[in-house]
Amino acid sequence: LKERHVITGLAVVFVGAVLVMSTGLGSLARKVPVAVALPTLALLFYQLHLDWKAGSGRPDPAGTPGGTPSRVREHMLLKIILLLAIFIYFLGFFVAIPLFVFVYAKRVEGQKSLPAAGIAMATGIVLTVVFGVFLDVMLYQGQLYQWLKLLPW
Amino acid sequence: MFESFGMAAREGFFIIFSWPNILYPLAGTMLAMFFALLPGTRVATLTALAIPLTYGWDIYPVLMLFGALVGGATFMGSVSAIMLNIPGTSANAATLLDGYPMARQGRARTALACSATASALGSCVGIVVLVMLLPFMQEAVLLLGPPELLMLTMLGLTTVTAVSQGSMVKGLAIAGVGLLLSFLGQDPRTAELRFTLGSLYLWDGLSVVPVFLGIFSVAEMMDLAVSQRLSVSGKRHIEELTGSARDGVLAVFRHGGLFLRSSVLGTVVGIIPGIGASVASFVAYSHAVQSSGKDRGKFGRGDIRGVLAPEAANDAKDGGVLVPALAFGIPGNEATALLLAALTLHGISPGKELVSTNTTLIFVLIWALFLSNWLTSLLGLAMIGPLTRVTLLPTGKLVPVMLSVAVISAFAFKGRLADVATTLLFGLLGYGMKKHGWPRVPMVLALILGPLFELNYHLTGQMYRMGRLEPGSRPVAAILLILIVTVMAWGPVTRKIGRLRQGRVN
Repeated sequence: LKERHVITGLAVVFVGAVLVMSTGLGSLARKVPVAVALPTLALLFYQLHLDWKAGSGRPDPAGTPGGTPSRVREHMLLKIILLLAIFIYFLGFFVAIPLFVFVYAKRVEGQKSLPAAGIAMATGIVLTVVFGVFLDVMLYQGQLYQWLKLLPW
Repeated sequence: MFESFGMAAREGFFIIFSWPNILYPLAGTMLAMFFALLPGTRVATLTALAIPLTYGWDIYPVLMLFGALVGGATFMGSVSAIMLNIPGTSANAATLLDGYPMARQGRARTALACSATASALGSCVGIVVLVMLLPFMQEAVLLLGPPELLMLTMLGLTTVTAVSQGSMVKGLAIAGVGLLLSFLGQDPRTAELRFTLGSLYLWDGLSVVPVFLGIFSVAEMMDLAVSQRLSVSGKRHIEELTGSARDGVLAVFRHGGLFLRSSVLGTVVGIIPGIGASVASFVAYSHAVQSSGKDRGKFGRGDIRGVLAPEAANDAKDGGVLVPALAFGIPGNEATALLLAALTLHGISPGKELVSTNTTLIFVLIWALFLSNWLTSLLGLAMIGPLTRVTLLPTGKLVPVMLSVAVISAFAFKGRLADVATTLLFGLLGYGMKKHGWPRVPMVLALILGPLFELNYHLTGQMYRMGRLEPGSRPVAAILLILIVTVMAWGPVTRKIGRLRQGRVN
């Protein structure tokens, strides 16, 4: 499987799963999903065939040993986005966002610690003022905060 | 009747342009503009917040505020579409097809000026059509039933797939995937749970806002970060940017015919409840592409007409949306639904009585809409300089900030952490789609139109079984069907003719 087939493949899996799950539904509930899924699946198989034909002679960027510079950045970005999700879950938005901005500036952009911390602080302050104060949005405070509240002291 | 309309229009004008009344639409416009600039935050939220606030007010200030809120957000949604490829609302999604390529070429000033001018003038066309339709609005809306709505959702989807970048096969397939995503959750007729995998989060279906934020905001920022562009425009200094605001303003007059046709199309499509707002701009964009003749290839690469047509239609539709709302109490979008709620709270029921006896109220609303549309566009024109600088911001600073705003907006939408995960997942998907030439707009539009498509599919089937769909009884549906076939066939047929002609020349 080459990288250019991934989106088509994902779509095929999703539509196939919808079709399989439709068999367990009542006749009314499955009518429209099945009517949409069948032609969509046909189109996706045709696209898969086109992808295959177009890509048979070309090397796939994913297969390049060591990866291209953009591939390296893609991997780094993927890790950083995963880190953002973990930061938010455990630390909440108020800590996670400045921390994410700092890590991004350091790791992806290669900035020095002081300017990176400056951008992180500024982002944290602006987001707190706009969402927390002005729009009065109750932002998630993180699992760690919830656990800390359970401690006896 | 027209004489009484004239009197009501005059009266409405003096009510709104008097002190301190003028402050209400001004405040409403400013608030709507600010809200519309934040990706993912909806003006409907602001309108909902305004309902309890205005409970004790007189009816005129309420109408002035709500009219401004409805009209104030439309243009600002296109600013982020042009500058960052992130549409403020689904109605602005057509603008990014040519607006963003213009920004990347350093012509953001021209695109913004064209958008502001087309918006302001387009809203005038919409309001004129609304005023002209006032006496006949009930008859006009009665022409539309489930078969017409079904055809219109299909027209919206086929139009988007036909004009989006990438192949038509990819466009249609991804629109199908978008439709299937919209079926997640409860079945609208039997309430049976579908494809939820036992997750409580999916009971209500997949929300559009987190998907929208992921597919556009996160994906676009990822693309910027990976491409290592200096900035969106690829330039650092304002002097390096080409194109002027004057060119953008003049483009509207240079393509006056297209502007007028797009505005009328926007108003007419905007009349259709629930569908108009999202589809109007795409129908106008499609018309611009199909009426461009030999220049068709320029679209999607930064053609000014690709900004002009959807923006004119987008603001013109605000007038159209009010037609079913005032005539029947059928809201065209969330904002008009909340406007109707505010009217009902103040003891005013929409319908024939409102249209025939309370015309001054309607004109106060119309003037507020007019004022807010012009104000946003004028402020937009005045702020072109600072707004354009966004395209000069270094990607290293822009990307983390925009990613942070996207995840916070996703959480702020309903206060659910799962929405943040949805945004990030769809962000990765959107990046993959962009990288491999899959159009993203058809998927999002299908997700929005899916519930309407399914409901009207069932209702049309029921009408057929009851013998209420005789041949020739639904001329509007027949016209829409012909349009769908034309849109689908246009691309392949023109390509074939082109090849034949070239063969003959050779």
